[in-house]
Amino acid sequence: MTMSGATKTGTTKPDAAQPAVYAVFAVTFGVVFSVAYLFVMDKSWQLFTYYPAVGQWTLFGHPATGPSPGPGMKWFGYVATCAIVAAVAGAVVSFIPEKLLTRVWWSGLVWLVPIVSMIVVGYLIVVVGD
Amino acid sequence: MWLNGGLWITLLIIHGLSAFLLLGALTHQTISVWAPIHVHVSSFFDRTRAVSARNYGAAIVVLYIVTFVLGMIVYPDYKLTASNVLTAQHWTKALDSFEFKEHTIAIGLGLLPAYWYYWRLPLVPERDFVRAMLTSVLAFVSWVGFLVGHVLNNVAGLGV
Repeated sequence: MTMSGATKTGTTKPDAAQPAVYAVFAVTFGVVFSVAYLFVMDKSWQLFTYYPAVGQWTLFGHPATGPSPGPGMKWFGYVATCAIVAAVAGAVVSFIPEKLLTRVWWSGLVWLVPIVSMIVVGYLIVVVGD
Repeated sequence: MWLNGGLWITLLIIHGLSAFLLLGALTHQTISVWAPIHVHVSSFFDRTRAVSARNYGAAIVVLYIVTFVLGMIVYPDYKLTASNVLTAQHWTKALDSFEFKEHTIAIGLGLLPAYWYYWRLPLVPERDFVRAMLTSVLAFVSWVGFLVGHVLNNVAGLGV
């Protein structure tokens, strides 16, 4: 598993514990963000919605006030929701002991999961019509 | 505020320029990680491969965030102007392509912490493949974003 802060010569950096924790956080963040985005987008679980025509922000998917608020923009809320979920997940996972994490850890998830997520996004847009 | 067409065109151009810089850096870095070269070079393609990819990491993170933020700023104007034009003309594929762009760009944003980690110096050889794949994913996302945005601007434009 390549989570340690070992250098090319094999010596360990004095702050090896810090890079390992950040590595777990960063990989988990990327993976969870990609997966969460699919659900948030499909189910409209945005944290807030912005109505640019009237300059209003509403919580979740609540409609704006007024007779003609115009189109609502959910995308900002999607990103916020996923960032929060991914950050919490990353923080939680980074506290799991490395010995336990090694059994399920594969750093390749950080590139494989986003690729799969993007394919699913394409499917949701073209086929499902999200 | 949203009716000042000149402002939105200016912001869009800056957004495009930032994306252009990001694309240059990411493309060089992607070619460099998949086809590195460490000898004296003379051909155009060899010089493209020979860039010091390790020095691009922080710049790419900054450029991605700057481009992303600028995109967020101009997005509302797109929603009120260009998007309406595309909808009225039933340009469904154009609208879908922009949706794909916004979602993939967001997924790319989620990869930045990992991307920054894997490009931290000193580079660890065991992480070469993951580093190359992360770079490639971000390069793909950035190219999609650039091409879709450029084409849609040609079709409908902002500040209209």
